[in-house]
Amino acid sequence: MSVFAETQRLAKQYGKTRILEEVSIRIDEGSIVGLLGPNGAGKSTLLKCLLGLIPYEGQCRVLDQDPRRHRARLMREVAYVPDQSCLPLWLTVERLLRLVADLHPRFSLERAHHFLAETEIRDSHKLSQLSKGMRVQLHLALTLAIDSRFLVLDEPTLGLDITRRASFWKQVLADYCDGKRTLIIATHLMQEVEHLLTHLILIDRGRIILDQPFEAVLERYSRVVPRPGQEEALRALHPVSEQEILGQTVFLFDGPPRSELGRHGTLHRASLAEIFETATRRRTP
Amino acid sequence: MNAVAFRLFALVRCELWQRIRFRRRLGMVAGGAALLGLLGTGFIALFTPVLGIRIQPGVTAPDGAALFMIVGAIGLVIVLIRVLGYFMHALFDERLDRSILFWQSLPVSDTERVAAKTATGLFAIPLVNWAYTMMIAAILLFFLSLSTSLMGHDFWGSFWQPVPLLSVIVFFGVFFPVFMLWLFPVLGWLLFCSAWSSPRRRRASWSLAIGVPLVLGILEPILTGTHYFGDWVQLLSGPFGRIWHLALLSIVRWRNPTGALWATLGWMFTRPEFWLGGLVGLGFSAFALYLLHHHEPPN
Repeated sequence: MSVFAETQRLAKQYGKTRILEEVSIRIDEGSIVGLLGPNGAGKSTLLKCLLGLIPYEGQCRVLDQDPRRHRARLMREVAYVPDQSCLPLWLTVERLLRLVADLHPRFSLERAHHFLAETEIRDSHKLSQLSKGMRVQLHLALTLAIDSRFLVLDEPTLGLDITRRASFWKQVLADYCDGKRTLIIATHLMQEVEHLLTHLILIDRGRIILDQPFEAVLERYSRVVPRPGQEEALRALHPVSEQEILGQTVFLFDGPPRSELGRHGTLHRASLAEIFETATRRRTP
Repeated sequence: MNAVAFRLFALVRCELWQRIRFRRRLGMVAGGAALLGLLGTGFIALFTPVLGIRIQPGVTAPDGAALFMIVGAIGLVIVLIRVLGYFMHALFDERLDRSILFWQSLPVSDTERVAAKTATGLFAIPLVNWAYTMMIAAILLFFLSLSTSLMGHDFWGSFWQPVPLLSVIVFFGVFFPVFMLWLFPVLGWLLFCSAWSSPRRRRASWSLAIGVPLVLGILEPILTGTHYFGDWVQLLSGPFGRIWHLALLSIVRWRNPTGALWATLGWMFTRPEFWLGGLVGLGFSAFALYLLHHHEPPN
């Protein structure tokens, strides 16, 4: 499988604050990567480094190019939604679409109009008059109208209501999850993306704390509801967490064979939120 | 049109969308000029018969080209202010409104963006303003002719003077952008300051833009006893003063020194400072590009 992006000891510092430290990751083409981490973990900064938007230390190659030097060329292949509203507010929707159509060789005006037809956004609207949610919808419509092999989404659904979020992810699933396109999603809303992911990267305080195929992560973490009297046996296997939920004890394990755990209780798939919480809690001093 | 030229065209058009509200401006310019002309004509229509003013035989109608000259000279002041302001904000506004991330997410290089902004300031804004200026002059000439026809002149007399009106119109169409090229060292400096500026050091960038030339102008004669900077400023503002001088002459004497106008333009092209200044402007633009490339987008 060819590589979409690879970093070696990537680091980034703002003033005296180190945002990224020794980040070495590899993202294969065709994978759908979830980049998760708490606030300020360095997710957006890592994405900006990958796309050549900011200077960095260390090595970074995207599509076998230096993203810093060849950002414009890279952006022909990559569609990117940043985590903050950044559309030029002085444009009208119609002019914005014309502009992107003129500047992006893979942009389809027809597709953009198709997506916008499902919203209340009209061509004559000025961007400054749109609500925050409408601007997000517009930006997502612009991005989805780009026929790119690589899509980088940084908190893409922030500001969208639940219906629009569902509709957006449905569209992403239909367009991008075909095994040929690469998708990197940085988000806090884990339950929205966990059914899409093929690879998981967890980042905390600028360091990668987990970088594995999603199937392997699910294999590694198990949620166990003990059979009566089996609690102590499970505790002996060193669970990473133990919780009381509705009067029932629930254990979360990282590592022990599922067959062994199965002897003491009922196995469940650990949720992404549980894995995330466990992995980040372990690093807390 | 090749891809790069097409992208540059799209970027320049977008810059104009941002900087010039075409419809509103057109309405204001045409409406304002028409109102002014209408008031003048109404005044003449009202008072000429009362005062019994008639044009003496042998007196020719006012020169329309002279009117275009004075309106063109005023237009030059306006375009100068607009272009100076444009270059001061060109690379800063996108960081202030955070749209820089949008621009960077498009397949457009920093070089193309700086080139588009430079072309907008040097050519597109001057030419748009030239069109507005000439439109105002045309509207005013219409009302001037109407007024003088009320006093007994031929309505078309101001249009068909010996000095060709078209020559003045074309002259300003060439002069507006050429004068901006003449000022390219200053404009390039402002572009550099706008690239250096950030929301946190906005005032500092203004101080840099204005303060450095000011200090240089004051300190050079004191410290070295030379006047190179002052001479250079004088040379730089020379064509501007020359155009105003000719415009005022044309109004006072009601005749148009078109030849002198074109001679001014020719003089500019033959000056080595014109080409040297172009190189300096390019140098500042290159520094601006460097800063733009190394700037962090806002968090």
